[in-house]
Amino acid sequence: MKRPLAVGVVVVFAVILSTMVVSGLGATDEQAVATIETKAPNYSPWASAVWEPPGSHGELAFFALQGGVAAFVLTYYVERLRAGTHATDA
Amino acid sequence: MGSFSSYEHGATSLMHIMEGFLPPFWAIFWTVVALPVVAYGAKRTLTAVKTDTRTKALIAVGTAFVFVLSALKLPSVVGSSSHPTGTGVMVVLFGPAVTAFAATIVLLYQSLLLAHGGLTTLGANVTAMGIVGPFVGWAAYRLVRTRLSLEQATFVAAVLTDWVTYLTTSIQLGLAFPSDAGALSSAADFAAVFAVTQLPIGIFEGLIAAAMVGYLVRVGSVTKERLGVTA
Repeated sequence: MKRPLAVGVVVVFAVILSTMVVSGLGATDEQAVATIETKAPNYSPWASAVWEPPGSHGELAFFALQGGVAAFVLTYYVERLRAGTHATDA
Repeated sequence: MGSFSSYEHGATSLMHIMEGFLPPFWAIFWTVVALPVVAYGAKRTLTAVKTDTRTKALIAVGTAFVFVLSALKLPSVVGSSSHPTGTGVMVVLFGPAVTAFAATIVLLYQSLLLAHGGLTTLGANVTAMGIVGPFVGWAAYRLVRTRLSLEQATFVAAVLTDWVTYLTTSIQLGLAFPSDAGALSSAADFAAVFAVTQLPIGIFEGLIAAAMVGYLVRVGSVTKERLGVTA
């Protein structure tokens, strides 16, 4: 359990760090939206998100959670596979 | 409902096509396209999970890999940023159908909890990231796996999976928002926007996926038979 936890924590920090590093850069997302705006200036999105994380920190927290939990699961199962606790491959 | 200006925060979230950003016709169209593939992928996944515990663990590893990589926001050499898709490992281990189901789970999570993508655009995003990209990557993998090493073949598959995902998104946006010169010209405009960032990120994703699959083989987690490598 120690290694999955450690990897999970490392990935949480990696997600936070990667977001901080790119914070000053223009996202392609924004450029794509600008392109839509140019092509269809009168288009109005007809639906909105059912829920949005509160502010940029909320969004970052959910991304970090996503990465951290997934890294924990990934490492946990890789460890189990390495330990040979499973039956032979199909 | 809202105008572009009221979506300022959401605009930064277009890792996938965001909520409401496809006209209803195209939202329904791509949902209809994606549904049968995802249903088939779900059936294949459930069958694979029941096969044995090793396969079940590998599906968990592949899906977790998609979650991890798609959480990272990476800078590109051209001064912009984007996300990897992370689907390359799943493509190589299980093929496009199971990848479609795994991608749907990831996209649903991001739609509901991160406001990245959306429910109305889920079909389009699944078609791009879970179906077309992985299918092309898988086809390329099958084509080159006997000629290249396992890591090299995985690299090719993962790079193409990433690039084709964003190319498909460009086509979807081009069809939804055609220019005077037509949908193809509009798709090329969107592809140009994504390409400058996604080309190097796709290569990075290919390297990571190749390293991951190579590692799984080295530690005996996956047999070469699963990877379609007989020698």
